[in-house]
Amino acid sequence: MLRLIYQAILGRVVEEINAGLLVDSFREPDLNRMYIQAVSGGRRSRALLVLAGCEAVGGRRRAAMPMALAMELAHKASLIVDDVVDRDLLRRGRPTFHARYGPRQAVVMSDILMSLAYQQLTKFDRSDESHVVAECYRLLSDTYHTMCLGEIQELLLDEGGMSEDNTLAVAHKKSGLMIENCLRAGGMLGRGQEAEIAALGEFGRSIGLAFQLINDLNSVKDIEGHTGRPVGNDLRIGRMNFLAAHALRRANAADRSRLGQLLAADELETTQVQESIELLHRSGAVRAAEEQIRALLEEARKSLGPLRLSIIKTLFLKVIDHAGDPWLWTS
Amino acid sequence: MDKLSPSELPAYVAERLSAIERRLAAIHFDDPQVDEMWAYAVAGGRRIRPLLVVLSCEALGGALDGTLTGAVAVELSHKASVLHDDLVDEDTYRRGRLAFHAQFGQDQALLMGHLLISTAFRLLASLQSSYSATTYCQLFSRIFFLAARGQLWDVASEGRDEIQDLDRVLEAEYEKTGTLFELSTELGARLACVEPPTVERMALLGRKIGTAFQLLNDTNNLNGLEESTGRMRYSDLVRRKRTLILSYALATLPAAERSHLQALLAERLVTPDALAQVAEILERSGAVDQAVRQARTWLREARNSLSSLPDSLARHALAAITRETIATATDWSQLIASSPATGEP
Repeated sequence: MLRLIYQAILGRVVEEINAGLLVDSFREPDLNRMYIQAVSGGRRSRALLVLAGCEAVGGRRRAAMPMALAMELAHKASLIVDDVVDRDLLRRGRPTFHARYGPRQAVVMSDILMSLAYQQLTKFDRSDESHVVAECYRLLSDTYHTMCLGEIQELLLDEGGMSEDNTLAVAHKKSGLMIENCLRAGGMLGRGQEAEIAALGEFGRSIGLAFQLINDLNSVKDIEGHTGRPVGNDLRIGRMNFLAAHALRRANAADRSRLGQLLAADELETTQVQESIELLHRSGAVRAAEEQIRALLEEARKSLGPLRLSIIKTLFLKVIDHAGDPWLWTS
Repeated sequence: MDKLSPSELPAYVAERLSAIERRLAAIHFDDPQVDEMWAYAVAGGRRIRPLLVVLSCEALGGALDGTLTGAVAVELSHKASVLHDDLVDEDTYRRGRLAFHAQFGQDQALLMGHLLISTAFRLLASLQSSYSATTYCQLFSRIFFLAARGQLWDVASEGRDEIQDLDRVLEAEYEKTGTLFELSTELGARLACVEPPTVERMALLGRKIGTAFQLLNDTNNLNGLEESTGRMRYSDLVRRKRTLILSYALATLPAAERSHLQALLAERLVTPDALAQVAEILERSGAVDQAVRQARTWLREARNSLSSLPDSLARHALAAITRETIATATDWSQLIASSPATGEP
């Protein structure tokens, strides 16, 4: 269902986004190739969210295109950074940027992508009021700022002390806020009313957190290659997510200490990953995550209330209905 | 204005520096560990760039107060590039202390660099006048892109020993360092609300000072003077950086000597002997002289263009920066002193 919508309705929009992104910025062909590699791949979901926010309030998507490209570039920059920090060599089955070109090049390319993100915002029509453009700069810098802060704090956190709420707060900083701000920016650029813009933001916030939890769940289920990463990847690298935080607080004493050991280990064998997954199930963490996801999706649905009827609103409702659809999560 | 006394200059500059420090120190996060890393990242250095913002504005009649947000944003951008440059060039020390990545780890350096630059944009974007916010964000984004492009070119060109277009190499030298100096003086001029031709002239002034700065850095990396800033002598050669000096030598040496140089560069340059040999060839080729001459010309032009500004303490301070601040910690003082004096007190 989602695949169909994506291909039928969004296919052409994705082409427009690609036309804006896949342009040469350098005189040297090898640098252009490097840049194209950095921005290729993925479904352009951040850009699509901005455009969707714009059309949801009756705006024309051209008005939001510079911001759509800016958010997509910022997202790509953050993926390069994430992959370096997580030492991930594959993303959606393709070598990550640092795996292909080296970590030093990855640092510089992340700067290039961020600078190009800000540069996109010089491309608004002259007729756009400067307070709208200034607000775009504010949303973009705020989003990226919060994302970096979330990542820094995640690296610093005393993992044992993290509650489920802490993990959700970090998830919001790292990815939820961007989804929220993409929609908000779209609504603003489409000249939506305050209530509509707020509704888009709240929808983004809930659906963003729900997606993060679904992602956490998928990583302990057998959805092969849901992001091109191995099953149980978070567990392997000892990353604290909602599931692990829940289990570490709610499981019985023996399970708790065993899980603590496993998460602290440098490298886990496949059998140990399996054991960790079993511990998560037994502690009720998987059930708790599923309940939390249901609640978040319900909030997302409610927040759409003030939005006028449109294809985009229908599409958002479909996304809520099919949030667990493997297509969203497989490469 | 009363007759200016040079003795007032130190106090005048000190006052501006402490205003900049106070603004920088006012930035906090609700997390002591992040604050600690932030303080380390922001500390140190001579604050030349933010000072240029303030002085350029004041030299053109603007007021100190209105410049500080922009000045701080420029300094944060500079610190971001310091963190990422040290990470990329794997320099362990900077100004006598551990580089950020050596102190807190590479991942944190990567993230903190991005946090610094996004903080700069956040400060600018939240300026009261949305017209100013938009204009300054545009200016920063253009400079930020050029600086990153210079860095990408730098990394991608390492180890390429073929002859390259000298103009492109010179442009990369500008992109690496001249950009942020240009940003500083241009921003200062814009904050003073002067006419576009004056903005242009101030931008060019910063561009010349900054690019000269980079060329002299390249020179000092060869002659060892840069070691006092904590960078290892010959580190550019070890990394086989495409500096103007190397490019100029490759382009002008007789074929036989060029092949010899290329052969030396093709080896892994690790022994002090081989490094000294390459440095000697570069010196003999006249490439070092050429770079110094170019830097000197720009600095002279910069000073000339300053002399057309109205007499003020800010102008004197700008002249002193071109003349002396660049010279601290290196032997540039001699070089600048030896360039012909121009219309300056």
